[in-house]
Amino acid sequence: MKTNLKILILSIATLAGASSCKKSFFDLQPYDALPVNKAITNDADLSVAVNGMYASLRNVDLYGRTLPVKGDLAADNVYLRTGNSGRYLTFRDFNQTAANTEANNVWAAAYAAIKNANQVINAGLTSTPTVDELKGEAYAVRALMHFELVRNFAHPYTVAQNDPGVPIVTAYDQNALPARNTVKEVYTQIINDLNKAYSMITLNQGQSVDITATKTSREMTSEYISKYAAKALLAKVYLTMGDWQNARDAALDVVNNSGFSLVSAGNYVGYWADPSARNDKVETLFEVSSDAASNLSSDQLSAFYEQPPIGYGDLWVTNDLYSQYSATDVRRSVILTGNASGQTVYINNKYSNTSNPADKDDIKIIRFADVVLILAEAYAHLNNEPSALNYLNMLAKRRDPSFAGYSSSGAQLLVDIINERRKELAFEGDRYWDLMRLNLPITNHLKNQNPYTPFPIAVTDYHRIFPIPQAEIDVNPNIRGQQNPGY
Amino acid sequence: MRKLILLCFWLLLIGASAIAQTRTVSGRVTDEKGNGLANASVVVKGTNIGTTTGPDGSFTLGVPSKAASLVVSYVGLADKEIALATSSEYNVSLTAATKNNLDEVVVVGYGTQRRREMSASISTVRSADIENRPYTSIDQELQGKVAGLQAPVGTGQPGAFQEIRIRGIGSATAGADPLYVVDGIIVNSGDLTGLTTTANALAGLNPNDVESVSVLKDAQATSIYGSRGANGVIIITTKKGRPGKTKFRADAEAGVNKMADLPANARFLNADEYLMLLKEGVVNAGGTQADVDFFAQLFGEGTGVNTNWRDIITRTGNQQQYNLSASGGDPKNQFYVSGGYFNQQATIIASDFKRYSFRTNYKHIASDKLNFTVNLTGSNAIQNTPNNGGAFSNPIGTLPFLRPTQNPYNADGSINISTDPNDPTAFNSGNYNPLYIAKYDKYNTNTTLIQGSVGAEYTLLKNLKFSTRFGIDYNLIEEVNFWNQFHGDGVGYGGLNQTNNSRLFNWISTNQFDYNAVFGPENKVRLDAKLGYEAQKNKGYFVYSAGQGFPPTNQLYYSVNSATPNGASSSGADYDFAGIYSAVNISYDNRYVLSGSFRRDGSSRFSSNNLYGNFWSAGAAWNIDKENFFKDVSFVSALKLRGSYGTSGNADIGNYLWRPTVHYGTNYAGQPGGTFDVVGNLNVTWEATKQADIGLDAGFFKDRLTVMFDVYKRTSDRLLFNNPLSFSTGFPSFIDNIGKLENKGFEVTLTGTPVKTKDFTWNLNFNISHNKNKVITLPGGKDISSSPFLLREGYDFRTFYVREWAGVDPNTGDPQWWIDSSHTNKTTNYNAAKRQLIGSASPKYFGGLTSSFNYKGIELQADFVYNYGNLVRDRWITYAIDGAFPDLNKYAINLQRWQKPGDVTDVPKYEFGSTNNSNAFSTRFLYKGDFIKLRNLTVGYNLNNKLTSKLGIAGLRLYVRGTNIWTKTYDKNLTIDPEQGVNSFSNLNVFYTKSLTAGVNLTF
Repeated sequence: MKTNLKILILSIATLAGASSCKKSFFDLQPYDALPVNKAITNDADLSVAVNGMYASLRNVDLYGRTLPVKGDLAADNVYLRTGNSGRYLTFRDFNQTAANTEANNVWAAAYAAIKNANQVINAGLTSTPTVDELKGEAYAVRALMHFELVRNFAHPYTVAQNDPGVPIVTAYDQNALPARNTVKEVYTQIINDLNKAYSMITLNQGQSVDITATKTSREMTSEYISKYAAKALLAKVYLTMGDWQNARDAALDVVNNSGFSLVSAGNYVGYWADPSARNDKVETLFEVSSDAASNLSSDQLSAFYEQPPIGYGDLWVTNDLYSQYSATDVRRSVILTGNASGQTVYINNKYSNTSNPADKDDIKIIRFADVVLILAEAYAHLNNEPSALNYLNMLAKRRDPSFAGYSSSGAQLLVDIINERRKELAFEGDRYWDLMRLNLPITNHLKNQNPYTPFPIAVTDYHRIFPIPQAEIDVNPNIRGQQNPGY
Repeated sequence: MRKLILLCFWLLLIGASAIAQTRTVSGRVTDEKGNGLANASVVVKGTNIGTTTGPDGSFTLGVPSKAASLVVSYVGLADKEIALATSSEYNVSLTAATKNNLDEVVVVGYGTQRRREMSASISTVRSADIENRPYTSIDQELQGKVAGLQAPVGTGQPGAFQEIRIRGIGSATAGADPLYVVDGIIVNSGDLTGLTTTANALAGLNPNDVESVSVLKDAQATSIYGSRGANGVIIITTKKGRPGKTKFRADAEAGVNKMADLPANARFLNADEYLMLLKEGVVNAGGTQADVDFFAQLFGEGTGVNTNWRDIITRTGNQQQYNLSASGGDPKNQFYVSGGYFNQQATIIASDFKRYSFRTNYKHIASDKLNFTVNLTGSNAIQNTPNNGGAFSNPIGTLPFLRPTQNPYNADGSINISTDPNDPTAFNSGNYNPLYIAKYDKYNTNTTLIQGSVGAEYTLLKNLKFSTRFGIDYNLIEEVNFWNQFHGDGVGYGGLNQTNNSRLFNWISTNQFDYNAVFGPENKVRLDAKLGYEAQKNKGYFVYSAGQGFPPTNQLYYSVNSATPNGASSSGADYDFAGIYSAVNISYDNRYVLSGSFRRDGSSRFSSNNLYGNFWSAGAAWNIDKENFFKDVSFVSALKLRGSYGTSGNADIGNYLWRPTVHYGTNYAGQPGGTFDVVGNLNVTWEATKQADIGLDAGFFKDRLTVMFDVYKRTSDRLLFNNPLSFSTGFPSFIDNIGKLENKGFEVTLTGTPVKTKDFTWNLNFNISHNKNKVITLPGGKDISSSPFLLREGYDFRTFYVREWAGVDPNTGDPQWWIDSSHTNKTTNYNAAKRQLIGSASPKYFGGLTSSFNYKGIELQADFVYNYGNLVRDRWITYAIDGAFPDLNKYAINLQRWQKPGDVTDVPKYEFGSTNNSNAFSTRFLYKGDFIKLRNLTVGYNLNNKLTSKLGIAGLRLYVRGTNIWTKTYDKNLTIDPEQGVNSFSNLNVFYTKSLTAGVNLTF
């Protein structure tokens, strides 16, 4: 009996010990995550990773707020009102150092999005139409992020294509310490990625991707990069490079074959007020989603324009921009008139859904109007002025039905196209990049409107491109000697 | 692993040897009251021939014929030496041990040990120093009682988390609190809540059920806890029953809680003073008389309102506790049962804590070889906790964030919740009316704790015992927050209910072999060895939901009444540990002691590449007083030198820290999204500590005076920090074991009885600790900002990084700062002054003093705690001084402001809406943190035996106690209590409590 008891106790103890001594005892998985090497096993997982990738574009330091603000504030479309919340003074003052927060954050957020795209691109799934479709979208996002990086952190391609660009990252490597590729190399990579995207994505807006693992489908709304959205991005890249032939080819493909159209004058205000995704091939080729559940709340771009107490209301429209619109131009109706200390001020109202509980404003990345203007500009450079005027007026007359149309030529035609771009793409973060690629001074940049405090930015000002962030320089010896001149 | 176990067994078994026995003695060991003591140790002096007593305290032992005496010992009681005469019957009564007596038996990791045979550094606190105090949890009672243990109070909230640092701060980003073990169960400690401002898992334990607390400090003591021992270990042992007559005990205590004294400079302005200063400020800012009138009216002139917000938010709280227990048993069954009720109302409205608890500790002796134990406690704690810090609903925040011209009441006496922007007495900006918030908002936490174990012990061989135990530690935490829809944070939601339920189920299984043997010449070698295996797993499960949009009533606050869901989630968090541990203690002739321990631990928190860690220690002790050459030194009654060195780990790191993972919730277009967002590190593991300790224990004049002295050096290595990556990877940094900290110091404990006569005894206990912390290694050698501190290699971990105040310019009244550390040039531009590394939030010296007088049953005891050599910061003074926030009230020290050229003062000119940063953080708002506090003052009376026997009871004690009744500070500029937690900065927390209680302890 006694021996039996002894054996019993010992065996219980041994069992208890053995069961918790196995290595699997320690393998406790988190409740809110999957191991990175087990997260993508089929096309349904891949589509979840694709959603995560798109969501990273919503980052406040990318399209969520910083990039669209910079494109207008650093140029001449908007200014920071007196009594602003202290954000983005850099884009007004052009005085940043290598430790600049905005530069650091844009750099970090763009590479984080590239990492997310690479997780999709390099997912070890067998090629199927769905997998290719989804990976194609990731190629486009990877291109888009390299494009934002290279134009923010390096000299324009049109000015110095052999200068240092940014590191090209096509695969995740925790130990990587890359040096900068040249501007030209980066653009080559972007073009390759966009061409891949265009060939792998077969669907146009409104069609659906079949997710085979879950027997569901995902609609290709304006919130996803469809075939012609990829091509439109390519046109914009060629425009930025000043490669007019390729820009024309890409833009013409979109205009002729995509089935997209410009929004009518009558629907223009409603177009901007509507925060939902589109599937009707009207105007929006690609936009980054914000909705009731997933948004940046007080950090969203709309809150930066929306007046207090709902938003910060930090940005007001310059008188210079406002004066460009004729009274019959439908685009002027998304600019509100306000009053501050007895002065008339102009307030952008393209984003009006800050406090809409059902949905929030998406951020437009590329619109059909942009493509039409790219086409006009390319034709102008290719000395096909009738076509240039045709496409320019297609847009201009759509926006202002009373407008008789442009008939200019030569240098004036280009000036008219650029000005039409300014009017069309205002508050969408585009203006600064026109001035950059054309290597123009920002003559109408101002520190304040009332009192009027002009602050022109010369072409030679080294602050026109961001510094390579100090934190990157500190940790990466291969980039240490490659800081942008001046910083 | 299996080979190792077998090897250990073999080593243990060959040590066994037979002992010649020539005569038999027997007897009974009892406590002072005559109750038999089970498991007391009876050993022939000078040998290790011995036995343990049976359930009723009786023993029988064969002793060598030439044996001269027996040594009898029992946990918590003083050893007794009995001379052996011709009789074979010896009855021994043991009395309570004096603290840290060399002959006491103390609870150590996985067992007990006689202090004389220990090489480790362990301090103990006994039940008498713990029972019937107005503290909600036992960790709050340790301040000043244990050398090397720092436990500064951070808030007066009853049931609050108590930070404890043993021998300095040993981690930067991971946990730095000790491990808590209750009757062998490693428990979940700390604040386990999700929504509550502060709570404490240990508040579920009734301190009145605690028999002793052992604080394990050096490596020899802690490394048997392996990867979790690095921050020290606190072992709590609860009361057990003893055979004999059933003993009943009733403790009742009731009293009042008031706000503990604050420094004179903590006073805020009254309405007249505020308005006077406001008007002066407008003039100083260049305002006209019209401006002066405008602002004076805007901020309340002419309303006649003069509110002292401190009076509004404070109250006299009730303090009560009632504890009933019974203990006793027979030779086969022993028990301790208790029930307790504790109720504390803080001195701030809507801040309180209530606990109902029970405990059953039961032991059954099945045979002389087998016994079983069941320990079980259950409690329910209900806590109401207001917000702290800058939250607009924080009642303490009303002091700096409201004006004395705002009116808590309407004319009809109802609570004013007007937000009329044109009414200066309304709550139209900043903080809310605390009376309404206290009445209608809910910050309720309801915690149910079930903790206990079943265990068995079996004697396999004469010298070999096997024990097994399975314990659980179950916490169920229900939190309900409600922001009412009429006033305060909830207005924008139409009322918001947030509900968070947390369930933590923690089990632990321990199996252990204990081997004891004596051998060698004259059996002078004594060997104690243990070998065990322990596995533990904790599962946490959390459900959160929120609803908004409530019907227009104050009666309904559960989310079932809300119109719109606001949020819902469920999640969990698990961890586990498993390890094999062993310890060996060998003593020779009671003179020389060698000890060692080893543990191998694995945990789910450790990365796959570093899943297991080995921890070890070695120690030695020399009882010098037992040497022949020392026999003649009569005034030295005990003298022991000891030393140890070893390693331990800190596993208080994130549960899933190391795992490279994809998290979900990065949703897009209404569809689920996931990204690879935690880079992880397949090498990340515990933080490693190495500690060396040298100690000296001495007793003088027959132990009328005892001294314990320790010097230590504790190096905490492989500390977790973020190690930067190239951003091009997509991650800014990864978690890595790369930092290093060092703590060096000494501890002295003096225990003495300066006077002892027949009727009068004076006992004194004093301890002092010194610790010096230094940051050794940071990632890349770079400073890390941890505002208001800066981590820099070579400096104390809690060094303030702050601009230096250079006083007020007597000509202009402008604030000035030193431009740099040379103190040659001053500037009136705050941003032109460089920040300097100044002082530390950690004290250089701290400790306690207890003095007790006993005269014919009347006792007077005073417990002091003290702290010296740190700086403390008033964190929110920015809003409460000078003119930058003229619409908020100000400290009364603003009355000493500069007014005209030539005024010499430390308070700048009061300027309305000033932007000169005079109120920004500088050394102006750092104060000396030195203090002495009278933590307890007790006057008690014990009825003498004649009276008690007449009454038919065993004992009766009546007492009156004051807690926190006196504080001495050493900086005249202090605006806050200088005791502000480990980080020494205030956060508008619940004021500390000064209690006055009267109680009765009845035993029968």
